[in-house]
Amino acid sequence: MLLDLKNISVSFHLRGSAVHAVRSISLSISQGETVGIVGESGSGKTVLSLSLLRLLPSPPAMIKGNALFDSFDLINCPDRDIRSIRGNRISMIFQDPLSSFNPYLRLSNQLIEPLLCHKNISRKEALEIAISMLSQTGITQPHKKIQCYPHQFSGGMLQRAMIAMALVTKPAILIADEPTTALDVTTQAQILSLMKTLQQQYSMSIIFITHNLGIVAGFCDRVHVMYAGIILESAETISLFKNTAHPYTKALIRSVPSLHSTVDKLYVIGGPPYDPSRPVKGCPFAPRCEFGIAECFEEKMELTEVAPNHFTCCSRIKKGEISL
Amino acid sequence: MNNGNLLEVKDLSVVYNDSSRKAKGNKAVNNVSFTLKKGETLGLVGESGCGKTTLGRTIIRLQKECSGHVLLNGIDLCSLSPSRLRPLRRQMQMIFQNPYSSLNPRMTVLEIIAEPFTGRYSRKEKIERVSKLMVQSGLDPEMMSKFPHEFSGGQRQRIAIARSIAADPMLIIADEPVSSLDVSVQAQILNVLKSLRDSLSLTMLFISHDLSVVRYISQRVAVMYRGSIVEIGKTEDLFKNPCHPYTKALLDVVPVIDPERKIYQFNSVQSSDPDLSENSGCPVFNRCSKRKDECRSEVLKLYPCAGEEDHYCACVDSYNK
Repeated sequence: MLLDLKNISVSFHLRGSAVHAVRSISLSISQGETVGIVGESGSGKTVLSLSLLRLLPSPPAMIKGNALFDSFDLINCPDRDIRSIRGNRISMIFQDPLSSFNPYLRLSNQLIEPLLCHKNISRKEALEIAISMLSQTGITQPHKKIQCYPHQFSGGMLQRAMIAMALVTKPAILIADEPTTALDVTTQAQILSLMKTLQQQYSMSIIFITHNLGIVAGFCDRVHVMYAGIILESAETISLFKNTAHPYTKALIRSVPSLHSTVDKLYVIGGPPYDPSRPVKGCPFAPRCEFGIAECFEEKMELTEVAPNHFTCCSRIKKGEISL
Repeated sequence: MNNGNLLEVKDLSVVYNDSSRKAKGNKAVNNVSFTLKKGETLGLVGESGCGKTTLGRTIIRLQKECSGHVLLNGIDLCSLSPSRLRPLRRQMQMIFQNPYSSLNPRMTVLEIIAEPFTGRYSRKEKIERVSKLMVQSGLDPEMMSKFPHEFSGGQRQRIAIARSIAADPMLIIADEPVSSLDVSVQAQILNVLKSLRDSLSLTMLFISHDLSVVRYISQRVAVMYRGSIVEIGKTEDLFKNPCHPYTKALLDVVPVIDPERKIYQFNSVQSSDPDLSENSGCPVFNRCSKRKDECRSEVLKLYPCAGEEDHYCACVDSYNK
């Protein structure tokens, strides 16, 4: 296992009240694997990824658990160690490329920064590596373009530049937090194919965070479905969509309009959305679940294997009381 | 009277003047024509920058056209004086993309929804009407004295929808109304829009970049690229039998929930550095996989597609077949 997360919990303590954004999540990633984390906004997927790189200010964030990467524990290691990993062995790309770059600096300065920090090389060598990386991401005339400022690039080009910046140090893991949400579908397809090519080239692992089930289906090897800071279902992609084993996953799939058929009415998940400040007893999805019964509110949340490599939290599925 | 068309757009062009390039402006909308029947929903899809929002804003007179006509119920909106246009504005309402910036934070929900019919009713009638509108849009009328910040994104979009139907408009222009929402909330809002459209027989221009959403809500679909409509037809025809290479490419790259279809293998739209220079001929030329030399000189025109009524496509190639 390249990265092994054990019981990660993140909570925010604000004015006496606590918000539990991530509750005891365990998952692991092996080399070259693409792992998808899907969930709606507020499900804790971004907080989870930020906490791995210790990008959350603490306080107010309280991070507990272990994230084992090589001989390091990303959550508990000293600051010096995490600084040597962040942006070097584990890189991250963000949703909005325009706000992720410094508008005052030329791209050249920003693209060589990871190299100057982590590798013992000169500015000139770093610039050469950055230029070749930029050309690998499909930007024409990288020698000229690297001297541009961020505002001179379009959204798609800037996202390519951000990928180039994340990959200049040849990281083992790339965390991609909604990298294509701000882009057009055509650009999205280009960026995804670019990420796949570079992943194969560097045998890199990708943690892909998204709310788009379509991208997960076509891009990831393994998927974790998050709701209220908990993983409700975890499976290999094909198994997740063919033998869905959690009512929430099923509900999400059903509420997406189809491209290939017309339906009269879209399926709607009823009930109030999850409120993170309230304590959760039992299954957090139970109040909105069409199969929810009294016992669901008492049940202990535990991922159990229901099929080979397919885990679910739903107690009724585990007992075989319902099928989806 | 006027063939049952509520809205008729004829050869509409909009040019934004760019101060740095004085000679030629940037043509955001280029000779667009289409019609919209009463009770019909037309979906307008395209990538960002293709002019779909500008087209919507021009129809509703938030943006001045350069040439062409917009006819609402046979009245040419482009030639009306501001005072003559004013009463007609009530007939055209808009729903915006971002419900966080389209609602005035200092107004209560009651004031927001009642604004389109201000001055026409007594306070009691106003409250009655607003509560009816709130129920129709799936909101609890007891919340009418609250302010927008007390609502979630989905609820705010419902407030915007309630406001848009408050004055019994003839035409609604929905500009990406669901693209800032989560999938589960998106489904709720789409269902509200669809049921309102059916119960009030609203005519709607639904602008979106999401083809699956457009497929769900529209009866007809127009695909735009660089200011021009490149294909227009009934939803079923266009999705089952897309004629234009650009439409086909767009349909290819939409992520669908099918784990066996690897999205990163579909890359049929060629990338190109945006070329904003004025050119005649096909707007998709630089990115088309099936381009020929004749495409460069061809004047853009919509050809009827063989065998299908009301299905038009701007590609010469598909017409010749």
